[in-house]
Amino acid sequence: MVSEIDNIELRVATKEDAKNAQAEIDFILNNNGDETVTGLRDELQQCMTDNAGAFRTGESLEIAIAKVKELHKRFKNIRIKDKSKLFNTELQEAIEFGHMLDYSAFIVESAIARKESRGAHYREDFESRDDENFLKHTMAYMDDKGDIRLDYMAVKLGKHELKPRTY
Amino acid sequence: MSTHNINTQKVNFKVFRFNADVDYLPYYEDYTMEVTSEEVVLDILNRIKWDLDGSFSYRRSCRHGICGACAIKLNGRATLACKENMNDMIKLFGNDITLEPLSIKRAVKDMIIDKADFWQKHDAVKPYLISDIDEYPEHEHLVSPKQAEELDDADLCIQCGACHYACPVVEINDEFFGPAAFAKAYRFEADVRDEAGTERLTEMHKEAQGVWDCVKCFECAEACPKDINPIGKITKLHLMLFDKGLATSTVASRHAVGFKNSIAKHGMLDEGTLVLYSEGPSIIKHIPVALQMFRKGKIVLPWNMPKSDNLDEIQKLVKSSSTAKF
Repeated sequence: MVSEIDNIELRVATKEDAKNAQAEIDFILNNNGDETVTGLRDELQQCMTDNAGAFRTGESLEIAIAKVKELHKRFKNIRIKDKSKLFNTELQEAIEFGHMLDYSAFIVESAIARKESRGAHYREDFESRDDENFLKHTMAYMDDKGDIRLDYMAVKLGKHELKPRTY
Repeated sequence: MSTHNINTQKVNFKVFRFNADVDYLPYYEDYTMEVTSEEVVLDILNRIKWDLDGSFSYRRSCRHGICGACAIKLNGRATLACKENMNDMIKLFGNDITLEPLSIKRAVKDMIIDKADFWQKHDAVKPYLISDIDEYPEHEHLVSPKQAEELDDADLCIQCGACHYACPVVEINDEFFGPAAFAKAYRFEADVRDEAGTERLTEMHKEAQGVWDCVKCFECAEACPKDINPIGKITKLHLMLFDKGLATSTVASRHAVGFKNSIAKHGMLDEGTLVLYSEGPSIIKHIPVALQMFRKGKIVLPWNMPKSDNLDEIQKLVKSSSTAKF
């Protein structure tokens, strides 16, 4: 296990990455809209709890993805009060919220595609595990427009025997 | 079935505001809120930031009393914000509540302070196990429950800084290690696996920075949210210094011994002789104070010093409880 860490390839950061990160901060500090991060975050939290918790259905997940997309748009219209460079925890919370939106989209899109139940992903419309179609890792990629493309990777078996959960 | 009612009441908060980048002087902002009986102080900080003013700044992390980030002062009382229930605070102080950082002179932004001095002192007491550890041990280094009890909960410290910034000596003496650092030093001195010998304790004995400058006011014990009782650890360090023969004759250690001598001789404190014993010839600088004390009857001439009743019993107690030689 530990030795596998050495084989992980990490992408080398570019100047472009630094520019993107700086642009993200500049946007949050300077944008002059009328939404608050706290307000949007409350809506996201409530929506994800209601619709994308351990027990979810295709229907609830569609509600969730629509809400996440809506919040993504409204996030472009935020304003924070704290413009200071000193201990700016309001800026920090806004950056975190932007990332929460991205991860919420990853979670929901992956869950919509996985039409089975497995572990903490319990689809009430597909209650059993489907090894034939879904014994695979979900890989999700977001493009510049915020659209998510899904891909799958084979599970390396061998350590644990594959058997139905009967407890 | 027990009934548990959630009630709310109106509380006026006066909140310290300061941004070292832009403000010349700090100021106070007033907020009035309906506070429910379920809320802790940290909930109030969150509500100020999330509902009323996003620029309000404070440290927080774990929200269950283990990270030590959210310690502030509430009506001057050191308070771990995530631990204290608002209802209890209202019972203590009424409905007008002032929120301030632990140390106003170290304020950086609102509740956030510069804790550099706290960490420097923490590091200075060698807050780690000093031991020649076998790199490839064949078995664990067992510590019995009884030996572990010797730590006396000193290992529960979360380094919130509440005691440090409640300590009046820290406030006026920049060199004084302060209660948190002493509790940490004790935590390792009391550890059976520690082999520091005298190197850590010698630092504890130094004038100005060491344990002798503690004024025994018990503020640290009051302030500690984990009930660690730092002053108890300071007293234990005093005893360790005597036990290990490291308490060389200084004004501070003589002061401690002078108390014992006075009790052994009179059964009560003879303030005049105590100071003479501690300070030696330099007592001369205290003459103006001594004259005032004499006039008020606080000190008496040596031949007029009264003796306590049952002095023989007191002397027996002193004898049986003294373990260290000086």
